[in-house]
Amino acid sequence: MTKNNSKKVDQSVASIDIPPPVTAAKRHEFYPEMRHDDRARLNYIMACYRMTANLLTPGNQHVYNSRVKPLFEAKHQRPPENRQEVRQAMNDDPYHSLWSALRRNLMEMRQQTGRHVVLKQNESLADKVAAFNHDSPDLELNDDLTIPSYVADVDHHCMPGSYYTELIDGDVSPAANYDLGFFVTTGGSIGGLCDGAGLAVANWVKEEFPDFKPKRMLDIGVAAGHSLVPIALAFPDTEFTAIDVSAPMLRYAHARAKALGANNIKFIQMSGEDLSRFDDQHFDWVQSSVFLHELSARALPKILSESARVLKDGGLTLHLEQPQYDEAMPIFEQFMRDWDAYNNNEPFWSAMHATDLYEELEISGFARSDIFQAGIKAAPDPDIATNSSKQLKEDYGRAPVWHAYGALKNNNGQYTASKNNG
Amino acid sequence: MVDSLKGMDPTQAALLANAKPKGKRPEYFADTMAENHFSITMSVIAELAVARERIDTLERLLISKGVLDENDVEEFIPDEDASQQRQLAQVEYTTRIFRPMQQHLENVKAKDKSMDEMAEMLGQKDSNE
Repeated sequence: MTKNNSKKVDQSVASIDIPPPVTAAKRHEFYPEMRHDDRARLNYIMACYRMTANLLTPGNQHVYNSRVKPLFEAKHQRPPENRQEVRQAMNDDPYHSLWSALRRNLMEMRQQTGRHVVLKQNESLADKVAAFNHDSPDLELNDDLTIPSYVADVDHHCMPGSYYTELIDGDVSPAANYDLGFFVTTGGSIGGLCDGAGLAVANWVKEEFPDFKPKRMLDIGVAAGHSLVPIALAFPDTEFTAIDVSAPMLRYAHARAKALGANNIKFIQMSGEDLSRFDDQHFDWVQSSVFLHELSARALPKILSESARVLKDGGLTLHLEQPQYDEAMPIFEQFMRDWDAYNNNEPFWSAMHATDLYEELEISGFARSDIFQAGIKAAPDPDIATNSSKQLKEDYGRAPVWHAYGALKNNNGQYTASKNNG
Repeated sequence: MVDSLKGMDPTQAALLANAKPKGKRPEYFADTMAENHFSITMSVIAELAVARERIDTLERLLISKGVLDENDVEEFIPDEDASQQRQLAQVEYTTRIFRPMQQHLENVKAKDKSMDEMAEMLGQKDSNE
């Protein structure tokens, strides 16, 4: 069939992927229990997210081109010049407002459902995790740690109480809620264990650095360990140190990691801003996964310079994030990627993504010639059934595609990231 | 299994599950009423999806246990009496749902006094009321 006679189907008609059910999430020993209607609620939220992404999200570009931009140009005699101007103009558009309201409400409903599930079993979860964690040398909590303001004052992604709030002794409910919600908001696109980012990093590092045999690795901001566990499993001879400021996340992450067979991780409650308990050049690899955007302009350089200090010469630092905004990225795309900053309680997102990370890494102690970026993609989880051929399609920060900003310490510019991945 | 789990008092859990995250909530509509209406509608839509999934579960269980045949529900045609009762139920349902619009129209037509006006009227000792 040639292009010209295929008149049967209007190719512009959107199709909608069918997301997996929440029961496709791979369970582990500490995964919260759900009732029928809890599962149904989350199934609906996943379906509504997918419908929104496939059917409604592209409408934003359409209304921008067809009425928002022309209106702006008529008023100002010039096109919008930056993402802030696009945002102000789009916020007056009824389609965009309705779309935003829909997405905001979905996130609130996802939090409500997840929290309701875990709060009704918070004592059972805490008891089970405490019994398992009891006296483990691989879990070190510190009650005296001051929660930094970028965590204490911000309920990221509309998560009431953030990562650290404890409603009962030994609480793990923020982490259990995070665990089940992660699968819902990613719609299964990063796997049944939401480990797509970590698997992608492990594969990428092995391909790029086949001779790299790290003795010690530091993961900053481990959260529930979704990204670190697959890396720890892929490097069984490496000693992993995972730090986070949140005790509930660490308790849960420790139990979850062991339940999934990763026994080479030590979890420590501490801030990445102060790594003074580690000597200079202590680690071969220092990493963070989708973490930098939850910091602050003050904390980011501190964490990067501490990371540089504790890294060995020749060692690897890698920070997984969404792509930074640069001149090559259209301002409409920057605006869409910024949505989470203003609507999903990610207030540092916008500034972080506008930061020149090459410069930040250079200031932190790396030579410009040793700094690189690379695109890293998750492979689809074969256990997640999907009707989609476009799983890897970019969705303004929600597709399983990341950018790694990295550096090798004092490596004399001998490494350039492969070009097959940006 | 789920019922044996220990946790918060159910009503407390429901209230805390609803907690607002820190930070002023963005506004998407011109007024707060529309904001709240939209959010309530979103929740009701979700609860309808939940009810439908539960009905689907029941149907599948009844089929798997041999109480129903595969196509019993699809092929079910109620008799005349039952059809009438069901259509009545549909009308009652839609009437309930669209109460606000009915009242809106009644309000426009009636030119009623406000409660403030009524209160003033009823509060006057020399009123005829």
